[in-house]
Amino acid sequence: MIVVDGLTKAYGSLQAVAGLSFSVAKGEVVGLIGPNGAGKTTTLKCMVGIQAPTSGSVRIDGRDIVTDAIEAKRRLAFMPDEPQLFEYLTVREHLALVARLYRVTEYSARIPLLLGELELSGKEGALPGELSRGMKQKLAIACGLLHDPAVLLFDEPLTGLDPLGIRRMKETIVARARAGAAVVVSSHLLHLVEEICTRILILNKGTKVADGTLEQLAARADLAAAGSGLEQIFLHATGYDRDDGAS
Amino acid sequence: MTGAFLYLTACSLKNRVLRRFRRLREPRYVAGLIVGLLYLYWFVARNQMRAARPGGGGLAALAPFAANIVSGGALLLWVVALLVWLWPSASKAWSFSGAEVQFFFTAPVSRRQLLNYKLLRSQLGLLFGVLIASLFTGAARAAAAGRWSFLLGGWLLFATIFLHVLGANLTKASFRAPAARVPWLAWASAAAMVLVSGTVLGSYAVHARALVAKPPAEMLDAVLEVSRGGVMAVALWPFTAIVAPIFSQVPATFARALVPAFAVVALHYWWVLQSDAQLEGAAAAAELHGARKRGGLPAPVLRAAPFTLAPEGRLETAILWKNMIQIGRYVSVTTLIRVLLPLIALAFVIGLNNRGGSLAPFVLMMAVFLAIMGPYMFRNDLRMDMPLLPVLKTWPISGRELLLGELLAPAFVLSAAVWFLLAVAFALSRSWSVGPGDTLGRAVIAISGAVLAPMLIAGQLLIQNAAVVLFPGWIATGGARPRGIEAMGQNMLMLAGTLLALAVGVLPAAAAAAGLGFLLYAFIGWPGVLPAALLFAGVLVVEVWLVLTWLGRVLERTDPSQIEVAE
Repeated sequence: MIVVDGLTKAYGSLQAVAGLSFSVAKGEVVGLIGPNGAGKTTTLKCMVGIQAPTSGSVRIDGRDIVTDAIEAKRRLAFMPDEPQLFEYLTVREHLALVARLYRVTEYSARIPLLLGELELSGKEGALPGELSRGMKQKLAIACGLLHDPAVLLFDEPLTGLDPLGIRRMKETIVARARAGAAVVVSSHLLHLVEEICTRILILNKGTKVADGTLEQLAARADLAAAGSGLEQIFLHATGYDRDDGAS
Repeated sequence: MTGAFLYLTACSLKNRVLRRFRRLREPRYVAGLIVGLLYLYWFVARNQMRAARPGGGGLAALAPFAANIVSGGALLLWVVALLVWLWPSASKAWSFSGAEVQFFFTAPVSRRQLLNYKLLRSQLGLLFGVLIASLFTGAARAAAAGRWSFLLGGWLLFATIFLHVLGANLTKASFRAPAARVPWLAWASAAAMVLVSGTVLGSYAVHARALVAKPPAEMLDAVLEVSRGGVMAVALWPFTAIVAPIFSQVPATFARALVPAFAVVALHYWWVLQSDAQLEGAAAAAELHGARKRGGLPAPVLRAAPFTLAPEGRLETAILWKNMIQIGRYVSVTTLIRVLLPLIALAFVIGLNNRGGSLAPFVLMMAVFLAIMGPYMFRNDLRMDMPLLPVLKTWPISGRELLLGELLAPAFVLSAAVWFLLAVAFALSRSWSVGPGDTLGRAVIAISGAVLAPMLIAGQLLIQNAAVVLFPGWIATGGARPRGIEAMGQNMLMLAGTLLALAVGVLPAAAAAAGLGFLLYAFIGWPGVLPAALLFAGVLVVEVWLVLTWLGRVLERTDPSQIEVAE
């Protein structure tokens, strides 16, 4: 469903992502983790067409995100860590706008269900300024889910959510994957990744340093010494445990 | 503490200049700079040279009218001050950036130190504004008392206006504040303004009959003469003191005029600091903090959408729908006054030459100004949406569709307003002696204007949006655009660039239309203007479409992370 092939993104002399390749199949939830500056957000932005790759390609359901951008974008949804909303559109109007952009003809029937799932019922007429940080995040996610995308990309999806919202969000992500969507979740919350992701991709300095299920990573010869927990594996794979030892 | 503020100001200035130089590594910014420099050479430098030529006019030539100019300037300043007080907005007194709030409000810095820093820093912008104004008008070289008299006099004028706006806003905030007692200074300031305005209006009321009896040619002189006598001269003294230096005829009078002008500035400085202290910094800070959180825009007012958006149809309509909602929810009495007041004032000044008694030229001028200035003032397009470009780029929509959709809302609103004004002008044109005398001829002119207006408006909107796409670092985007006198220089440069691009853009259409128009006029008279207007609009449609297609591709390639926020 998602094929990233040799993705490279450079900002002048700085290489944020270098020759990254991976794929995500239907029903998979891939956790994208890495230290600050590892290239996670840049990778996501290249995958959704916000930034053009310097080289390499990204294919969404067989459509190239650069050369066939519109068809590729029609099949995906990106939920950034900071919800970006139009301050002058109500909750319902945001969804109506997205429905037109993605040609969701049955959106009137879908909106109540979606708002109920994300606990936004009763807020249809509210402007973003009247919503809490968590509700804004939920609205951005509702906009992303409205067209039932085949590919979902989340950047820190739990930011600003309350405990109940966190649980609902995890359920939503897992439910979408079970329904056949390919999901990528970028997060620093390793327990979230450990809990909901079927596969883990560790980035460091723009390159892939590990890719596999938690069990596969724990069994890898060079990571076996770290232990079976994701935190230990992460620190070992990115070299942070060795830095600690050195200092 | 002053050292820290000076360090911050110096570093900000240095980094701002360096960033501008760094931008020049991109060819498009180099091209923009070359075009800008060429423009400055042709239109500004030549203007300067003309003003410097012996006998070339300049402010010295206005010596016989100096008294009237100073009186007129003082009256105008009073009108500006009155508008500031009556302005129906909740303008924020101070404008602190997020970083300033985070670093200074929590630091061991006194409120007075902080305000002094803000006031000093604003002077850089004011000086830049005066410099640009003097460059564009050539006034500095033409100033009778020397180049520095214009710059210093101009700075005194702008600094006083700046401080007066601040003081008035702080005073108004005092009356709005939930505190139990309104500070004495707020009452005193408001009373002073009421007293001055009452004296001015009262004096004119007393002289009204004599003024009305004057022939039109002498009326302006009489109006200004009244302002120079009796209690009105006393009431307008602070305004006269501020205007006097800039129009001084010799260096000696300039030096003498500086003393009262500096006294007025000092009084304003004291007023601002005392007003802030009496309002209590915390209240003012909370007010501005709220504004900052909303990104410089007021809170939208929930009003009905203009139409229901169906889930199927052209994608441009979705953007139009969104932007029409935006216009509807942000429009207010203040916005309307802000848009209409300059138009009415300019149209009135132009219409003064009309002796026929018809209001048609006045209304026509409003239509023309709206068609020319409207696209610059109405920013409900990509200029507002640029901060959300990362979101727009995830939508399944082509760059051309997005751009076209963004242009539609302001184009529709402005075109409708221009059409309305043209219709009114046509209805009033019967008694207007200029142009075609018959109804058919006047109707042809009005219809031709109605054909031309939307394309002229669309063309200018496209130029403004193209500037945002091509030179994002030079254009203020979103709601937090630079305002006030300090932004004047930047705005003048942008307006000049837009008009230059428009002139180049309409040249092919104008040439073709003029050829056809003259030919047809020779045979069929005024009705020949309409096919020429249609040809003009047709050529512009093709041009706009071609530019939209090209610009759409540029937008698709634009990397939001590479966009620097304009200061």
